[in-house]
Amino acid sequence: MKKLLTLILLFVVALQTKAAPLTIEITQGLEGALPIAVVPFAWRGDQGAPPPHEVGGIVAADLGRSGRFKPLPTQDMLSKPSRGDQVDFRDWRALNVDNLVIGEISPNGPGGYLVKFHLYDVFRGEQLTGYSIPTTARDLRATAHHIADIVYETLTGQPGAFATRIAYVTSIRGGTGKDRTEQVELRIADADGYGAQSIVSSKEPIMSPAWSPDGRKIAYVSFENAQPSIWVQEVFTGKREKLTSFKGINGAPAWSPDGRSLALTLSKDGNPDIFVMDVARRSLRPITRHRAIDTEPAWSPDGRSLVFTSDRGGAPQIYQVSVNGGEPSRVTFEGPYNARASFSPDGRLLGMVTRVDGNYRIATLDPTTRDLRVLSTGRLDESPSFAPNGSMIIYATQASGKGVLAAVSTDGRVQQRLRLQEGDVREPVWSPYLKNERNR
Amino acid sequence: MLAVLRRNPVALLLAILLHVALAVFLIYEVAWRDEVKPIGADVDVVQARLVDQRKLDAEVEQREAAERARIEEAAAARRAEQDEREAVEKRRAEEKRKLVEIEQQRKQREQEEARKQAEEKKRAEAEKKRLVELERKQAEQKKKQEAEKKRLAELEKKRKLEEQKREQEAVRKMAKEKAEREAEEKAEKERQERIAKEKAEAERKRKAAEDRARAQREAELAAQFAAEQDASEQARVLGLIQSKVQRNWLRPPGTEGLKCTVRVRLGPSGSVLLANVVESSGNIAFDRSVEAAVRKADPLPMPRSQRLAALFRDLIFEFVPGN
Repeated sequence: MKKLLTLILLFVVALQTKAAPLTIEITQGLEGALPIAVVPFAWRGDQGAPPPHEVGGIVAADLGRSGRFKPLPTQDMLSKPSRGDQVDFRDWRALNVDNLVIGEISPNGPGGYLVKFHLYDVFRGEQLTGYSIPTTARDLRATAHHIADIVYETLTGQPGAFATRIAYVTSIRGGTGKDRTEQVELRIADADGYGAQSIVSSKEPIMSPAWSPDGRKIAYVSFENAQPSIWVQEVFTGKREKLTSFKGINGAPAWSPDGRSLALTLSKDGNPDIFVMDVARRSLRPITRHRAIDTEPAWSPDGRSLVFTSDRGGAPQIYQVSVNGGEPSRVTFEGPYNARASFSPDGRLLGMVTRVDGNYRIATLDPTTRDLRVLSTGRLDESPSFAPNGSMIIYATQASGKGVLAAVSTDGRVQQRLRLQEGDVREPVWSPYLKNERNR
Repeated sequence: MLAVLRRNPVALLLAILLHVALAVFLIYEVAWRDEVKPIGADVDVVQARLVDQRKLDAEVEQREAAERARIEEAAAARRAEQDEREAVEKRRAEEKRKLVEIEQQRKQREQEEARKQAEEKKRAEAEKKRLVELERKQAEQKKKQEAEKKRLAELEKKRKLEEQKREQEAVRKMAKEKAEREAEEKAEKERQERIAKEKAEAERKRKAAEDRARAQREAELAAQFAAEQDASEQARVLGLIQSKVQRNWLRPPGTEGLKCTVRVRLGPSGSVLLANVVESSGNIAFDRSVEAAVRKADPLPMPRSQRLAALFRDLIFEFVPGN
């Protein structure tokens, strides 16, 4: 009997040899960021100005901010190669770093630089990608973000959103008492918060900035002239025009995915409702008509429906309605307050503000599973906006009594403040991919 | 004959002794007769007896006569006188007769003596003749004895020869027997050795067979054990590999529900030679993480057994994150 068993076992083993390779199922993995090393890029110039920014550092910070990567601190590096022939993969394997980015910057004409970089798979021991990017001192940060994007896309398969921008409103108060002044600015900065530029400045509130899908225009609400009106401004030229200035509320503009229409909230008829305006023709089309407040519309990525906030149910909740109108359906059921919804770029999630134990927090909702995931931990978090690749959400939060910008990875694992913020910062919005800056 | 003799040495000895005794008798019989025959020489018992008898008879006669005389005297004493004359006459007659008798006796004795002397002479002659004869006989005897002696010597010689021959024969026989015995012993020894050898061979064969059987049994057991061992070793190593790969798997967030299959080829010592995604999850980051997990786990644990290790040279990993 035992002999038979042996034979069967041997046979099975033999069969396995012949038939199919052994299969091992792996179910448990540490969910986490990918270790990566970005070696500071070497400067190869003996003449001309050294680059004003450390490109490798910018790349590393970008990757780290995404929550998908865990850059190796520079001081932990065993070697600091800048060229392919200097790389010893054993150094990096020893540090258990999956990927390695090295690069060098050399002078490239007057005021110009040539940035070369390589991305390696450490364990495979091979280069995954590498580019030479000509740039200038002014665009060096953008180039660094671009490199971060390439790395990100190469390793995750998703486009990076580092060479994108954020728009936000900041309010700078000056003076005290009766001399108190308030300067409100609409600013645009790199996605990492650097390089902020003011594109609109006003003494009155500015609200609800919205990027056009091509990233060239921003619509916003301005209270200048003591009357809220919706403006559209070209980002690079600064050229702007007033789109609406109806009686009452003119708010919450949102570009349709094709960039031809704007959804907005108007109370011209007495009660805030959602309308869609054909930007070219300036024609309005009502979407909701309800005595409750309907506001904060956002387009689905396919452009066929809108989500908006309404208190028609007694408390602010998210509803969805077809762009052709019709009866809205309620989307959120969990929690007493859900507002400011927007679709993730892939349309699978809704980012929004939800009230949890009296705190307003950023959350995502999967409309199909109704799975609500609270991502932030502040008391008064607001204005969530997805990065164009959906990996992160930028939002405003309160710190030391003023609004600051923060970002959280969509899975909630990485949260961070954006630095270089002046004044009380609110209403950040993430730009779409900026095609003109992707000089690949 | 010799053998018979040899077998009966006592009889032989007795025979020889008898012969010797006979010879001695032959030789000394004459002497005895000699001693008997001469009358005057020594005390002749026969003659003495004869003489004595006569004497004795005479004496007895005398004594009886005396007695009778005395009785007659006594009786005559009373008649004496009466008879004296008669008696004297009678005695005279008697004496006369006696004288005649004595004369006769003397004559007879002389005759006897002559006859005896003739007889003696005759006897001496006979004796002489007999002596000559004896001498001749003795010579003959001697000759005979010598012949006998010679014969005996011959016999002895022959016997000795025979003895020698016998001894030689015995020696030869003994030698032969010894040789035979030795041969036999040798044969026996050889036989014993052969038997021992055969026995040893048989033992060896038996042992070999036993060893073979045991080896086979052990091999079977080993195979069985190996198979069982293989199964458990395989499970063990698979567990180790799984554990090591899992430890090295950094799964991108939000990838639950994805599945990626990687085919991995390993070197003999478990080094990852090739790791290819054969079934993508559609998520590059996930796919990459999976491949990296395998590469990071390099080298993968391998079974100690070469045979089993061969199985592990080609592996399929299915990455299916559990929620």
